[in-house]
Amino acid sequence: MIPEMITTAYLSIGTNGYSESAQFISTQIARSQTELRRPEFYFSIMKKVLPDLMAVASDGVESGWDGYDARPVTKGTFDRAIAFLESLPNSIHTPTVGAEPDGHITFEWYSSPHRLLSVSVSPEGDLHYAALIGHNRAYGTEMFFGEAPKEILGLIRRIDVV
Amino acid sequence: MSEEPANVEIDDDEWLARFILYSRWIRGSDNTVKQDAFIPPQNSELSVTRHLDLSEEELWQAGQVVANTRPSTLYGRADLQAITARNQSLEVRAASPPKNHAIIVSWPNEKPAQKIIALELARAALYVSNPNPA
Repeated sequence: MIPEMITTAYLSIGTNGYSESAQFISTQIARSQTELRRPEFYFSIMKKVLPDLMAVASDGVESGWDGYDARPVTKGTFDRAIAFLESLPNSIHTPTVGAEPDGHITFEWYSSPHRLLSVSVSPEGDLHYAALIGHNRAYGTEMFFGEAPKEILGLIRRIDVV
Repeated sequence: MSEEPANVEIDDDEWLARFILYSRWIRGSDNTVKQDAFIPPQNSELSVTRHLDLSEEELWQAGQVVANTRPSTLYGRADLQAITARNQSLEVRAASPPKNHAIIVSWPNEKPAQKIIALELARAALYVSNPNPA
């Protein structure tokens, strides 16, 4: 199988050194090996998240879907959420999908209550994000033009989803 | 004669419930709630129910009334104290009827600022599952 070949090829790279640098490289390689063995590594984020995304769009089709005063999730928002998902590299962890009372679709990368990132996709295609990483907070808005913004990708990688 | 809850100022240590009627607002992994549950709606008035003078059973009944208006399933509630919202520069106001209804207002207009506040509220909230889901 191709994944197995890739893994095997990758595993052949290593080091027998005993220096601090060699140990560090060995650790990094071991981590990468573990990552490569995860079956989900080979499937696009889209395939994993699309069923949940479709369910969210279906749940939020009417006003008040949250039991209060929520706005519906529009097709435009759904389409933009798909485009955002497509722009994400396959190597990142899979987010969970949700919706907010203002009709935005959310993607959440969660490690703990103190380490998480939430990205909202608006009907206009803006990406609003907020993250808690230990004592640090980050939030802002990025315009989406078909490529995942570097700021958001950087935050996703810092969450280290479990 | 006691005052109606609508006229009683909400103390900082008073508990408020945000009823959860959407399953995707709950993280099954550790039984916590997402920030999505605390994002204000279009009118910027986030509805909550005061625990004030309500038994546990009455509190769930209040949640069921909210669920029945949709109708939808009452999955649980996210409890937080008024001071948690006030520490985020939000205001908490009594807004009966219905009985014990309150609103969290004074949200910033910018969505990212709303999200970071909602994250803090969700982090502080205690999620309680409905013991008798429909």
